[in-house]
Amino acid sequence: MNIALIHSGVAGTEDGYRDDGRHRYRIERIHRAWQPCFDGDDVVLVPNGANHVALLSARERLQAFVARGGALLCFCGFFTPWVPGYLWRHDYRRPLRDLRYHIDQDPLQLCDGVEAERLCVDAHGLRGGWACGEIVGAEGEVLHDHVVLRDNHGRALMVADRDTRAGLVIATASGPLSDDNPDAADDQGARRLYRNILRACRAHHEARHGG
Amino acid sequence: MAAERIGMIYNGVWSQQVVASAPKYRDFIDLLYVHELTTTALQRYQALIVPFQNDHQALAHQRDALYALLARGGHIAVFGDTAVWLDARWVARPLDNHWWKSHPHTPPVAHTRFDHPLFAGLTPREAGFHHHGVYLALPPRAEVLQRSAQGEVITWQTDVYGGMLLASTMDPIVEHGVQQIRHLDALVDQLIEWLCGRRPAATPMCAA
Repeated sequence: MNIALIHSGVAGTEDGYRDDGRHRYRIERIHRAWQPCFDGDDVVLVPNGANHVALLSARERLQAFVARGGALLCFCGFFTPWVPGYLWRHDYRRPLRDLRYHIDQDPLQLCDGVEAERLCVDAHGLRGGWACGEIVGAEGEVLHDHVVLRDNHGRALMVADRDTRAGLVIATASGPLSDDNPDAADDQGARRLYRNILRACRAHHEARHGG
Repeated sequence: MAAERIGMIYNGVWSQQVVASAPKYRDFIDLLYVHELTTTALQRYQALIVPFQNDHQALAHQRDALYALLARGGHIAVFGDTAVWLDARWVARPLDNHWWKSHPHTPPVAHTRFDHPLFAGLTPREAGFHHHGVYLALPPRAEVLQRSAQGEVITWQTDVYGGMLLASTMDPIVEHGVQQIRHLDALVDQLIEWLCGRRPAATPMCAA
């Protein structure tokens, strides 16, 4: 599976995204006259610390990628409207340390083996360092469908949508996900969730290509 | 310094935008998108903030304009890691957040020059938190302002280029935007005042 990793020039972006027998990452580096081509990609991955001004400028290309069946993953606060169907809003009035997460709907089984509490409390024991703000619909509407994770205020922290378009859209409320985590006990946290998302992308890819 | 606005080099990252557009700070800061920077735009500013999570390779295209700003007496404050256009050497170090739980009043930035206007009057918790690596080599006439508990350089400044260039591997901007640390108003307010001579209102950003 070919994965385009969006690189915004932030040091360490590629950490945690390594090729293996099933996944090949391609660095798609944002620059001044960025006009990305995703023709050879099965997945476009936007990691934490991304340039959402540049992503907005590539909105039509990203929407076309999803419309033709690609999988779009965004693990950063998408405050500009480039993710098809969804928008992320920041809200710094609610202290992150007071947040609790719970699993809502999970038809893609993204949370198999994942404990929401492990996402919410990091390796140092600090609470609330994963997600910020909430995901809403493209018009700002509260989401009822496709919400995988919510917080204790009922806000959507993660969405997974394979129904609205030919492609798959999975996004977190800025919660970072990768295959790398210094915490060896993360098998119920962010690393497990990321591996489950890759599994869902492979299943989506095989369904499209008859693999 | 004159009561001027500060330019913040902006890489399209949400937390940078949150701080610059907050009611508390929007009268002090202009966002300067890193991929649209021009020498002419930079000439309008006497002070710049370069927050963490930036595209330093893109910024390096304006290296001459950045040092020209310093040469005419301006200030630049650079936060985070790998600023390739600095005459300094940065290296990574493991991120230390254990202290919040184990020693909440003893941050990993253990030694701070509280006589510097950026840190004057702050508590150790306000002046120091986690950092993103350390500096191993510094430009001429560099003065160390903060060190880790291991004695490594976190924050320094130099006037060798004319104005004042300050660099720190801490980052009060992105962290303030994220708001996991809820007490960064004090440091950011001092930074704003140090750079432009005006101080934001005392109301916390998240309450405005």
